[in-house]
Amino acid sequence: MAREKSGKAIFYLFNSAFKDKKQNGVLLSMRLRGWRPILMVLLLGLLSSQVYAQPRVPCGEAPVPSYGGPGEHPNIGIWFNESGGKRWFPPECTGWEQTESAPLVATAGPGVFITGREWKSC
Amino acid sequence: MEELLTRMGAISRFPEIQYWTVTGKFWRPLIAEAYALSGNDGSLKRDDFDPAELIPGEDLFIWQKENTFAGKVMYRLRVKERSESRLVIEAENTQTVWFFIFPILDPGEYQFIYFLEQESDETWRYYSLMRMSSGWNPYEEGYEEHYINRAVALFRYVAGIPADQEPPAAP
Repeated sequence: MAREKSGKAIFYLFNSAFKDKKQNGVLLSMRLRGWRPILMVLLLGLLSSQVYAQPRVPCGEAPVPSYGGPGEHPNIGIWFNESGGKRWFPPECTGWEQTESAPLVATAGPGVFITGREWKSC
Repeated sequence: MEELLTRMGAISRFPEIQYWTVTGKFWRPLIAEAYALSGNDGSLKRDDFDPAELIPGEDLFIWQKENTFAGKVMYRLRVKERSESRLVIEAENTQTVWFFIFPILDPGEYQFIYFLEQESDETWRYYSLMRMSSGWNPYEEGYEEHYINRAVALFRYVAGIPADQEPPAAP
């Protein structure tokens, strides 16, 4: 069950983050009533640009999703067109073309042991 | 490293990769059939790749029949990095992927990349990324569990964890 939760957590985390930011955006717009509309648009634009975390491959940076700790289950992130695939462009280290991606599925597994030719999970 | 490369190059063993089918509620092979090729031609069947062949700069080809919407796919494998502590391998389709009578993925639009990094003497970390860069995909939102179970199946295979040792990631 833990693995099940772990497997889904990242995915749902992104979705809940989206909802939270959206709600914050609504609150902000209410508080800023009377301000110049352009400022509100800029603020909402800034918020929407941070709606989704995006996959980050381990090329000199900490990956997204993260590996998790020993004994934990792999973290999985899934992005479709509207949830980040359109906005993500592969880093140079992948060698991939700078095209939109949907879906994107990232899996980050914790350390696994190698014992001779026998593999065991942590 | 040798064990890792052996596992990654053992194309004929890919049918051992089991995933939990959400709709059928049972374990089944993620890849029904697979073999290594000596060129970008499905008829050029050969034995599995030896670790010594998995070196940067070499294009390697495989054919497999997946239990995914992609069905029969030919891939080109490339080792992008290989050192004592880091292995990066990418794969992409070399031919058009069809969905029934519709071409949905042109060559190079179905891609995978695997980063394996040594964490300690005996421990390696795994990071993989799969993407489709087509404008249309028959399996978008609503199919998350399918993607999760397939991703976990690949992880468990590389990690050497029997697929059904743990409960399915997305039952």
